[in-house]
Amino acid sequence: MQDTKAIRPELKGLFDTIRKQAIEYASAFDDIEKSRNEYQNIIKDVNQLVESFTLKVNSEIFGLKQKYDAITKILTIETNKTLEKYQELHNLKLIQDSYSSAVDTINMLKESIERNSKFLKKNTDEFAEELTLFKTNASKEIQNVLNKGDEHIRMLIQQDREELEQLLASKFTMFESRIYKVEQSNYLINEQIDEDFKRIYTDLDKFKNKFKIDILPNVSFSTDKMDLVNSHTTRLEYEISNIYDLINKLQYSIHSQLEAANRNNNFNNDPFASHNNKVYLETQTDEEKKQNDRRLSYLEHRVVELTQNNKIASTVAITSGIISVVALILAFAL
Amino acid sequence: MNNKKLNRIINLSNQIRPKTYLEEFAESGWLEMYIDNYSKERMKTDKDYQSRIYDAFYNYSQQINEETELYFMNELCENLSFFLEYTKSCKTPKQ
Repeated sequence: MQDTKAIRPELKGLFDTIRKQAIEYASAFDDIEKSRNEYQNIIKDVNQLVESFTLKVNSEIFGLKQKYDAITKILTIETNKTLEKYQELHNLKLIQDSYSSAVDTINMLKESIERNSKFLKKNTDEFAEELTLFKTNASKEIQNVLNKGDEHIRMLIQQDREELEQLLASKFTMFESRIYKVEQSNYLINEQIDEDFKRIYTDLDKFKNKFKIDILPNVSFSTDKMDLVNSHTTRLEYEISNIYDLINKLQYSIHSQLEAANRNNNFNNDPFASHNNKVYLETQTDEEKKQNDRRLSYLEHRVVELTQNNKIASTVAITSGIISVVALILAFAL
Repeated sequence: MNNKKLNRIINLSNQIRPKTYLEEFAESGWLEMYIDNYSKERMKTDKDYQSRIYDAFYNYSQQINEETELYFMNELCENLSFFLEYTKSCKTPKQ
């Protein structure tokens, strides 16, 4: 094989050198392979060591982490406890501060109360003085007002009294004039009635005498009519007596009212009358005014009734006269 | 050691075994003509046949054959390039 003749010897030498170098390279590569294997083994060992170390470190880290977590929990619990204690202490401090501030405020209030009590004592004295002054002023003012009111009331009462007196005077004048007229008419009527009665009595006496002597046995004049005439005469006499009584009562009441009015005037003109008497007098004057009005209306009514009665009496007298004349005529005729 | 024994055994077997017709042609100087006349196309396509032809030239030819030189030079170049390529990672240090 080495002694080939197909290749030139130069090339053969080249191939020999290349072969030698290849052998050297192979040995070198074997060494390299060996060192490589050694390195790989070392690397493997190192990797194993690293893995074991990593595992160990991880386990240690895990243990440390667990310890850290446990310590953290313990620390958090302890921290919370300390925080609670701190909070309690803080609250105690706050309570202490509030207590001290309350004590300060109480002291301040005590001082202010003492100051205010002194101030109030001063003020009470001043107030008592002011109150007495006010009372005196108020009593003065009230007295002035009362005096003014009293004067004003007196003035008003005086005005009312004057107006009432004027009214009463006018009414009294009217009433007196009416009474005068009524008295005049009564007087005239009485006179006329007296004349009529006299005439009737004379006629009746004549008639009785005539009737007893001549006519009575013959005349069948009814006793009933005579009784009627007698009854009318008795009623007429009774009415006349009533009219006299009424006139007397009326005159008496007019005189009594005039006297009362004069007394009231004299009493009201009394300058030394007390205030209560004046008030009573004022009310009494009103009542009297009403009473006088009622009396006046009653008197007017009575005057009207009396005039009517007088008219009735006059008509009865006239009719009785006529009846007597008729009876006489009949007696003469029969 | 084992490789050396194996190579000696292979050399012995090669010496003992009978020659092939290609080896006979190479020893007699007829192989080049045989290739030109009968197996030119196969030489281009069949690599195994090509290596057997050039081995026969290398071992039994009595004359210098340029084609065989070129073939082995190409083989050497290919091996060297393979070597270079194989040892390229060793040249650049690992990062």
